[in-house]
Amino acid sequence: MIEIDNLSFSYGKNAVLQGITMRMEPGRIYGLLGENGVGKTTLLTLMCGLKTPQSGTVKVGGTDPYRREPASLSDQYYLADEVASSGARALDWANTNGVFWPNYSEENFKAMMEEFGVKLDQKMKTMSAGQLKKTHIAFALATGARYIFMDEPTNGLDIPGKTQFRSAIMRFTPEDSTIVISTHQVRDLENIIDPIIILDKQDVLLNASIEEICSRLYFDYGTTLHPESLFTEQLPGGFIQVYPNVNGEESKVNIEVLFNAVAKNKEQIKTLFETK
Amino acid sequence: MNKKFDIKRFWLFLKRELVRAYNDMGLTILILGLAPAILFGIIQAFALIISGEMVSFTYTGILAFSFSLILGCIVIPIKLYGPLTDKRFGSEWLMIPASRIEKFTTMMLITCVIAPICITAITFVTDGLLSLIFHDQYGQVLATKFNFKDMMDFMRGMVYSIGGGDADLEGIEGIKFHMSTAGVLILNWIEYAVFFLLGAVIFDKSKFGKTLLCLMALSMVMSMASTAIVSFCNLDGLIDAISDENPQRLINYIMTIVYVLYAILALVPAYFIWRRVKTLKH
Repeated sequence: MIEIDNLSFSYGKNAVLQGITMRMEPGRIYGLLGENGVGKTTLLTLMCGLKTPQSGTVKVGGTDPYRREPASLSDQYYLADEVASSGARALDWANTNGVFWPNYSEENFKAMMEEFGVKLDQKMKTMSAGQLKKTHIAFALATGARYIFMDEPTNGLDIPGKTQFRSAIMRFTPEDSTIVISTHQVRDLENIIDPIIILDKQDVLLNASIEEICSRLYFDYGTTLHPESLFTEQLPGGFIQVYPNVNGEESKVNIEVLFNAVAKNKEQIKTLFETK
Repeated sequence: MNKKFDIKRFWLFLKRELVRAYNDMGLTILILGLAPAILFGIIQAFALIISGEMVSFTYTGILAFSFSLILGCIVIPIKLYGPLTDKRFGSEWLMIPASRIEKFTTMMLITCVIAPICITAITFVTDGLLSLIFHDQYGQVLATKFNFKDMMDFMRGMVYSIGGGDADLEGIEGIKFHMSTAGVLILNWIEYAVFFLLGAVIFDKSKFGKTLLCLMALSMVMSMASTAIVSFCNLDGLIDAISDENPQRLINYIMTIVYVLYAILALVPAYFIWRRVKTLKH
């Protein structure tokens, strides 16, 4: 479990995260959303120990990640937005690094690389940005780590790559893993992320499962505007709008619309999810 | 698993770093090791163009070796560990499940021991082959050109003149320096490699330029400090040692100072490298 208590972090005078408290359960794929500059990447790097909180605590599996102890490092993997290249061939690179993760599976790495269409004997220096990202994604999932932090993993991936990424996440992630994905490309990950965390400047606006969101908000794909609509977007031939689900009806969550609704009605959404 | 230093994990990390060094720096190390052949080739090519025949230039090996070592102790730490301050490479390196002490020891071992041994070994092989094939033009092998006696005589003369005498070496032949030419070279390599390694992990940009500036500033400060110490301290005891015709005592003082200085110049940057590895953030 990941436990964040009263976490604060700032870059000089620019406070990014302030008083953040949340829990992340095992066996879930968390979607970390937020506008530019709210601190998504900062939160990820704090969770994997690349930064240390200025106040508050972060515990990953009960330990402070900033201590960077080998045992906790071998339990997690951080996939940065931009990944490093190497002079080595993909499989050699993966196997040389994989020995440090006790659950690393060369077979899984090979299977994912095949699915991504990247050659195992290709030198990483000769790969395109997308191929390099795919190689790192394949390695991240092949480590079998219990905590995987991914920063914009679908950036730079082609259209088939995004589908393959979703498929790889579903196939190769251990059941008890906690995956945290920070992204702006919500449509790429719409069907796999659950729960959803929406960060605001110095606040967590929403941390709820898809089921919880569905029970409290109704996503209406219709032609008439609802008076209590929190956010409306015009589509060809109608609207998509979101409003409080007072009748307990079922609907399909549209994460982009949800995000906009939350961003425009911060206090109302917080109240809506705090009550009941 | 959480042991601060696990020998098996350390070996795995060292192996990983050696593979990376081979991939990223292998060619550079090879070129540095081949420097005698490259320099010899350039000199002889020019000689052939100008005079139509090969010339004898027996300093090729020593020049090339010095050049390789100087360049190696600057380039290798900066190229191998400079990217640690880069978010992409640095975060990947920091997240490898090895302890901080294992990572630090690996860095030091590669830059201060393994890289110079590789460069020296390749240089000596190149040197041996050149000496064998072009003995008249290239001269003897490098090892014979480390003129230990000349160097000792030079140091003895220098010490004697500090003591107020001229550089007459008679009567002081028996002085022991407890240091060989190879020892001086190794200590110099370590000192500069550690300093440039520190620059590589501390500065985000212009690593070479900033480190060189710091090195120059440090040299100036140390020169001024040593001049001040010599000027203001009472050196009667040392001068007496010379006048008492017991120069070994003075030599021992000097060698102790040299060793302490080398130790400080290597250990202080090493401590700051360790601090940096421990606290590096991305």
